[in-house]
Amino acid sequence: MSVPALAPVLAFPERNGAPFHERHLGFVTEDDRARKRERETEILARVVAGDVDAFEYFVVTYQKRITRFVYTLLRDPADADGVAQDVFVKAFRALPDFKGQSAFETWLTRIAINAVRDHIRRRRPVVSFSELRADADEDGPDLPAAFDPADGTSPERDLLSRDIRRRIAEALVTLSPRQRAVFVMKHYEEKSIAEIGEATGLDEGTIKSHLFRAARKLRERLEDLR
Amino acid sequence: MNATPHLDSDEILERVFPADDRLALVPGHLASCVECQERVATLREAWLLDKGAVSGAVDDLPASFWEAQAASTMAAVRAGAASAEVRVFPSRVRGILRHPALAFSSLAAALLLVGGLSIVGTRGAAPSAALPLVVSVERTPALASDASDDELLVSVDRVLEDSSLGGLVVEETL
Repeated sequence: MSVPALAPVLAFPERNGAPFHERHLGFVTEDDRARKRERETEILARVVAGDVDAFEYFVVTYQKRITRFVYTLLRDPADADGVAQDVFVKAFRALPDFKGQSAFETWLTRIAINAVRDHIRRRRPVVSFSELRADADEDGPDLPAAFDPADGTSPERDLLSRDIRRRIAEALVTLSPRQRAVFVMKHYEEKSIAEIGEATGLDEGTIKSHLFRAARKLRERLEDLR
Repeated sequence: MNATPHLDSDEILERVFPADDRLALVPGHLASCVECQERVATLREAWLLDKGAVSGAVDDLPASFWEAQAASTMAAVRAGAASAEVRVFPSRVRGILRHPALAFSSLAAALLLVGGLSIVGTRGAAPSAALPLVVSVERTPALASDASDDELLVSVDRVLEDSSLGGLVVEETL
């Protein structure tokens, strides 16, 4: 007799069987990383050998992280969902080329950056992002209540905060896909310059230059806020 | 009273969006200027709200969303794996097939080229009938070269004598 409810637990022990400190305290030790990498190498070998279903481990493990990353870059939930799925399909196709020189997650991030870039290039928006944001703001926040700036502070400050957020989002979409990815990885995902370099293949100087240009775009958008 | 100038926009941005892993030095002015502190705080607050909003918008999605996304992704992966096993066209051909307009225009261009070559071929075939007279002669390289030049000139003359093409050239010249 099968026990369907237990199947995911057995298939993906990391999701439910992660160490206490990782699940509750939010940090990962070097040993955890090494164990995870070893396990992923093992699963990758199974996938490459023809066990397509084993690939689900990677989808389930990284779907939230990749969707969040793509959504931060695109700011469109429907697009983010589609592109995130596309990232995994592309990763599966490119799996024979994965040499294991970087962590699978880093490699996946690189595919995500390319997928977002392709998506932005393909997309020919009829309505600009800024117009959509303005509409969204008029209709009220499309954000979870916990992040609604209307809670707590003064109305003037709420308004200013909302305006700055809109301008940050507008500045982000004027950046090139690569600049945008670098900026989001640094300031939204809190990656180090070295980690960004590993994921993008860019050197430190180029990354800093992208960050500087991104900040300059922000400055242009925020110039009159004094 | 604070005598040093206020932070400029770049310095304010650097407080919130540093372009380096190391924390930038805090300008002395910031420690005592409430106005600049407020500008930095407002920008940081807005950014944190934005960061929290984009992160929260994804993290708050229900489990059913993630299950559906995983199922849809795996269906696409399985479909991709199945089609890879019975791949009919090489990737370049599949690329062309994804763009029917390109495929049709390429086909049309190829047909025009083949048609044009066959027309020139049939018109150029007549002078070649006289060739056996020359073929039997033992040729030095120089003679052979001269003979092919002659053949070319004869072919060109015949083409130019063709009434329709000649007329066209004259009309265009005029």
